[in-house]
Amino acid sequence: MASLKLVDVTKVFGEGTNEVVALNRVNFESRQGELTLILGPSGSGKSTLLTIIGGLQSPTSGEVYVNGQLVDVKDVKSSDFFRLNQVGFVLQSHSLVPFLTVKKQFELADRVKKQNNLQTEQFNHYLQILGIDQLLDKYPNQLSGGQSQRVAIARAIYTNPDFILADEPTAALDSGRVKKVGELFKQIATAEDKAVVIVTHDLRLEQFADHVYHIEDGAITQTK
Amino acid sequence: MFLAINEMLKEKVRYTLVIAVITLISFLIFILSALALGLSNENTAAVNSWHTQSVALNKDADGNLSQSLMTQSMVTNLKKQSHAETVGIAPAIIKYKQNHRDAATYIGLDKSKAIYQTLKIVSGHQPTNQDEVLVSDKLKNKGLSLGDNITIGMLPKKLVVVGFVKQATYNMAPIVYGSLSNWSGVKGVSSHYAASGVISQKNIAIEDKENVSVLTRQQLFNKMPGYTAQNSTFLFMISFLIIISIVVVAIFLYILTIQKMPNLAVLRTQGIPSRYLIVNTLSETTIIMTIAVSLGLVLCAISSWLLPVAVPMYFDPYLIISVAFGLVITGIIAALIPIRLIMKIEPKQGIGG
Ligand SMILES: Nc1ncnc2c1ncn2[C@@H]1O[C@H](COP(=O)(O)OP(=O)(O)OP(=O)(O)O)[C@@H](O)[C@H]1O
Ligand SMILES: [Mg+2]
Repeated sequence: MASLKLVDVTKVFGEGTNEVVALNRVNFESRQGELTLILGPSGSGKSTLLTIIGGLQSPTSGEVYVNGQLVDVKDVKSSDFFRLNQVGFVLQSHSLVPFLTVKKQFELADRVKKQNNLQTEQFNHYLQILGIDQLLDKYPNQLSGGQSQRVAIARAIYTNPDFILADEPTAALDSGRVKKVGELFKQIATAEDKAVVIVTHDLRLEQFADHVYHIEDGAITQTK
Repeated sequence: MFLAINEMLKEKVRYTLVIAVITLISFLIFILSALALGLSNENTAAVNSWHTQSVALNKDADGNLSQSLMTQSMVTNLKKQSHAETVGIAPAIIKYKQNHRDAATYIGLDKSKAIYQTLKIVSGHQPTNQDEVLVSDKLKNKGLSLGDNITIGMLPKKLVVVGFVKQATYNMAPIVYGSLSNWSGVKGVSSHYAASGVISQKNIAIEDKENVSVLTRQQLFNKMPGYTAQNSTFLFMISFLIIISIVVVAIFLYILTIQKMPNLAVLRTQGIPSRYLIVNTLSETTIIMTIAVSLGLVLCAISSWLLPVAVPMYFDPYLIISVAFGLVITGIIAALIPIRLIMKIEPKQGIGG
């Protein structure tokens, strides 16, 4: 059973008077089949938390466990391998390669991760749900903001990861879209049995979450 | 490779431009190399075709064989070495037909010796007496024909052209091969001088170190008027062009990579190894260089076809291929800068804000 666990994680940037405690003794857990939301204002430490969850940087102190195993970020090879095979990222910007058509974004994934990606049938099903099945031959600069966001989501689930990590996936979306995206992430969590973590300051996503954490000045509290 | 090809197909204009620039530079490099080799051949072809290994000449000539004069007594000792043979060289004007005049080099040889055997007669026949000569086929292109009577240098009598030989230039001028006995006449010096120097396909030993010096073939070339200056000029131009092409490719790849940094960072975030991105950059530069250099080669082939025969270009396949290969390597060197950028990307940079 896929799970992510942070125990007493602290992240400090800088030294002396420049010292910033971005994360302060954070305890956090995310499990398969659940949508976990981390809410917080700007500068509260959301992105920092996401990079630590995703194995992109190591905490100053505390431990990160993936599926019960202690993670060592400094091992570049295994860290790359973990992100490539087990994590699907939905990022705020630049998620798509500008000179590849939508179809080729997935082909790139096939080239670096040769096994265990979604089967054609399953994948086409998702393209339809996301409403991007007609966009396969378009370049990213020919897509609207919402369309690129949905392609990025499709790209994240394409590699069939255990974890989906999303950074502000609803930024610049109207309320109607926010509802759709929220439902979609919920569906990915339950129907596809993934552990989904979303960091955001968008309160409109709260209703779709199984668990909600609030983060402020690096300190985290669970409210649901 | 996948990313490189797709990027090139998407951004056709910018890649076409850079390929065009590299094509022109590589074309220029090819032409200059061919010209350098062609010109240097005009100095060296004859001496090389004789399989010369060493040359003995008058010390006062300072290595310039066509200015050297050797007396009978200087030569006698050297000629005891059976492989050594006397050669008379005289830069001279040759007159033929009504009023054709050309600069030439008269080379007087001993018909019984080795150098004479190396001459490749392309038409006509071997001289049967000392007043018959073999002439470089370069003069054939200028209108000289078999059976023509020629006047050369200070020689009072006329000589008859009985054959043409290939690859015959000495210090840029076409050669007239004749007998050694006519050499002093052509040069206008007393017949008490025996030759310009002594040449051998082996090493010459000298006793009279006071008056005679021995040079290797390369030393002889280096002492030819203009030879070193010409070669170093070409070397300088060619190296400069290679540096320019490194800089052009490096700047181009650098700007492209800088532009793509946020996307490359996201790819790293997604767990795509840097090695994949580096190999991609390397294949991109290899593709650019290969296309550009091949186009440069095509241009070079076309122009070698169109250029007048008088332009002394020599397309040595071995040289051209090594230059082409060198240019592709150049592109890979230029890729080191963007590769450094890629290696410095931290995967967490893909997560913004
Ligand atoms: N590399 C860094 N060096 C120094 N300080 C940093 C670094 N990264 C983040 N910080 C600081 O840590 C704190 C948390 O930053 P973080 O980016 O996690 O906030 P955030 O919640 O994602 O904000 P936003 O909603 O604006 O994206 C901020 O005070 C920020 O200035
Ligand atoms: Mg952030």
